[in-house]
Amino acid sequence: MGDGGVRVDDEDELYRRIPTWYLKKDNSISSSAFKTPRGKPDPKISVDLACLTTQQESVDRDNNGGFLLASILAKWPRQHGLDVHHRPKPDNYAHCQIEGENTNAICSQMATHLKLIYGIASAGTVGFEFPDPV
Amino acid sequence: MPIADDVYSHPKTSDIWSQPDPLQNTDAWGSRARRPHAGRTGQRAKRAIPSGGQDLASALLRIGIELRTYSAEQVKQQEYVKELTAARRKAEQKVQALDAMQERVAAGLVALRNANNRIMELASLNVNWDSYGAYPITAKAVATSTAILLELQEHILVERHAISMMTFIAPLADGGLQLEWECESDQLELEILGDGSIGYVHLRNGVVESSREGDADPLTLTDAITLIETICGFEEEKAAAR
Repeated sequence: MGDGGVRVDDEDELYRRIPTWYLKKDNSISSSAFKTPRGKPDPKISVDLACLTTQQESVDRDNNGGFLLASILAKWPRQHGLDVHHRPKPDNYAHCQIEGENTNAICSQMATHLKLIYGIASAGTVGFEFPDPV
Repeated sequence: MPIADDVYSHPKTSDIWSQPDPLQNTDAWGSRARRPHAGRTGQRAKRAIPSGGQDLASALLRIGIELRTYSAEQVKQQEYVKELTAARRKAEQKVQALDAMQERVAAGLVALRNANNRIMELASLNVNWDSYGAYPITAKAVATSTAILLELQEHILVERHAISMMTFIAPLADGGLQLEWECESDQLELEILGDGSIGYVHLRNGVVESSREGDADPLTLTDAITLIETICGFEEEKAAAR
């Protein structure tokens, strides 16, 4: 338990919404998924704690276009010196943040552990076809 | 008078006996040359060649000379055929190399066009395209990315050209673009930020080899090209071509 929220264990699964632009041909996901505005890797990367939400709910949380869902275990950011905290929002109790001194190198390493969840996509991805699993 | 005495005393008869025996001195070819007496002296006497044999020997000699001439010509012909074959093989190799180059150029142009199309597509993204507050792709990021692609155009002529080896172009939430390469065990992520500055991460077998943050310690365009060329093995390719 941290800051009054739920304790996030190393084996807890975290969901990150990703625009289709990040998905590569080999089904891996670009490290850009962890980089946010102002040209720096985001020191607070928003994710959802899987045990507090559903995959569809997580991917549909924003209706601004077509999104897919990817997952990563909490232990991977922690292995690179970051931490994961439960930071609930009024409209999203499952909201968590990956926090710490993030760099491009850490983003690239974390991206190698980010897995696409097949078959889960937001309404905006009409016409999108999931690539065959590799 | 005994008959025998008469016979021996007959002048004509005694002449006959004193004459050399024509049969003894004539060989099988009718020659009057003396036969060798190898058996008597134990030395091999010089064999005389009958006139018919001389013809045969000269004929054989002529044939030998002709055969030698023919063989020499044959050797010459074989060498000529070898040279022709080698020249033909060289020509075929050149044609194959040209075909391969043509294919590479075609593939490179397709890759270049695809990369350009992808950049233009990403340039049309709206605000908050990632649902976490991303900015639209900036003109500076597009200009820098395009400048890198233009610099890499010369790679099209070599086998391992960096344009075909570029695997991905991703948008960045700050309005930048990320160009990615994969070359065997090496991965390169070139980050072009919204303000046009360049950073990178080089991974080998998934482990970070080196990196630079574009906002704190940016690369120049020349540095970025050198980095791409080094990681994609273009320098080795150029050296090999020399």
